[in-house]
Amino acid sequence: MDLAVRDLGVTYKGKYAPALDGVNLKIESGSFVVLVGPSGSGKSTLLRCLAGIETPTTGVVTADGSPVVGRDPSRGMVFQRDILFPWATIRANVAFALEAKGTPKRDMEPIIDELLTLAGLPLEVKRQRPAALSGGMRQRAGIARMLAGEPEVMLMDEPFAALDAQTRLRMQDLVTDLWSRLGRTVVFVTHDVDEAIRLSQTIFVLRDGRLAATIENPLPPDRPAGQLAEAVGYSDLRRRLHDELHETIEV
Amino acid sequence: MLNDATTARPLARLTQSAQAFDRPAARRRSVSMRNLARLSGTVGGGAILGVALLIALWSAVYATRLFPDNLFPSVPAVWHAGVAMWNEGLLGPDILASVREALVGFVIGTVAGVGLALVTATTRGGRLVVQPVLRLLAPIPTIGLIPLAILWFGIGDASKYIVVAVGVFVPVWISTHAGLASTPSDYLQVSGCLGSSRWLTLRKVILPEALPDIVAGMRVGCATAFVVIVVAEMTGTTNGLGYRIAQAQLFSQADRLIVLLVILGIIGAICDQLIASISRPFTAWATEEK
Repeated sequence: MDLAVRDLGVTYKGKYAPALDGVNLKIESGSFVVLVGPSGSGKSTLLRCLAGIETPTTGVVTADGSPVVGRDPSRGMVFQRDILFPWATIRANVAFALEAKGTPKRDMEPIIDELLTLAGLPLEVKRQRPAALSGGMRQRAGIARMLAGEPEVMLMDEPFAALDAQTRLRMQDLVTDLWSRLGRTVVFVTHDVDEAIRLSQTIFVLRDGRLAATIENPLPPDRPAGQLAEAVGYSDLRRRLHDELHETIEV
Repeated sequence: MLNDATTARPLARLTQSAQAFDRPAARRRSVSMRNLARLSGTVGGGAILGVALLIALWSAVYATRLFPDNLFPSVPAVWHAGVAMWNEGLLGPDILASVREALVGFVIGTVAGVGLALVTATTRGGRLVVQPVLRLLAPIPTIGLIPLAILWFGIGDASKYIVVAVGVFVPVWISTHAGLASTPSDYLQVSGCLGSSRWLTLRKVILPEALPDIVAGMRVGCATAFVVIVVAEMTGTTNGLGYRIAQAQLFSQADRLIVLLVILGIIGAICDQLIASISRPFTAWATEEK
């Protein structure tokens, strides 16, 4: 699914400065795009506009040429907090997405098993409620639930921000693996420069609600976490990203 | 004259034996204190300890003889009054009558409260039209409705069902409405992103999320049901615990009155625990998440 944003502007009630102001960008089908920027730069707002959660004040968001109006399971979203339903088991959380899609109940079990396995979860967690799982496992369950909706675009809003460093790296591996196996478009929001470098094909740098830079990631597709710093082009890319973000701080 | 050394030895032996005699007693005391502490640490044990303390306090006040016996009876006198009432064959039918009336009213009030809360919390029409009317009616004391209910429905069971139902309805509606109307927007966004229909979102997101509030409202409603039924039975009826309380007051039978109040307390506590136990599997998540 191709996504495009034209002259996008979002101004919240009671706020002086717009959250987004005249943003234009294109996201090609099957690409892995990272939105990076400091807090308040508008990256989450942009993602919510792509998801159809936020209605733009000006401009338009299109998916395969059609205007995005409201939410749609074809654009799945993973939030910073996992937002699993705490009263439901992991199985029931994933089954909810399948039921919303109209999957008959008799067909659900094998699909749930497949989705949990795909997200790297042992099947024993099916009967557990989210409170019994670690942060990483909860995010995996959230990803499994999103995948149940068979989204063409996976929108991820700082999904690993609350995880420890080791879990974060494993989750990055999972997302990269899912992207390469499923071939879906991924739009990933982060404020972590290294995470942006490791995951992206294209990086959009946002600053004060505007698109400040579009950077193509020159690194080879295989990027093991431990060897990332040794990759050719890593230092230049990191410096450039830092410069873009540093400029914001000076502003 | 006795040698100090000779007297000292038996004395020391006596002291030792006295200590030896005391040690098991001390140990017994510490063991029983430990058991008491362990017992009070459990819910049932705590309740038993609390009741025992209350009885002890009551007995201590009774022992001062500050109040006349017919107004402030002793614990054994209350017990004997209870046994006498049971032997007279009055208690069983009265308890059954009160519980039946409270239960029917509770069910009607709960169904109406949850049903109308669904309307007021999830529909625009309900929010704009029904909610203001209910907000206006909710503060009216239910006890004040008893004379009107008797006028309209007579002194039979119907009037009692109605007043109990109204008494239960108010806390159930308020709690349920609050629970349904305060579903975190994150959950609604997630269900929307997954393409969930309104009906599915209501069944699988909004209702389960509001369940702890609904149960809290039901527990308050349960307590209200017994308050209302006792007052309703005090007026123009010939059975039920409320009627017996009125009778006991009329004949200055404080011992019987206390028995009836204790029974009401026990029934109320059992009903409350029943609601809590039945709902626990569906509401346990709320405490797990904290």
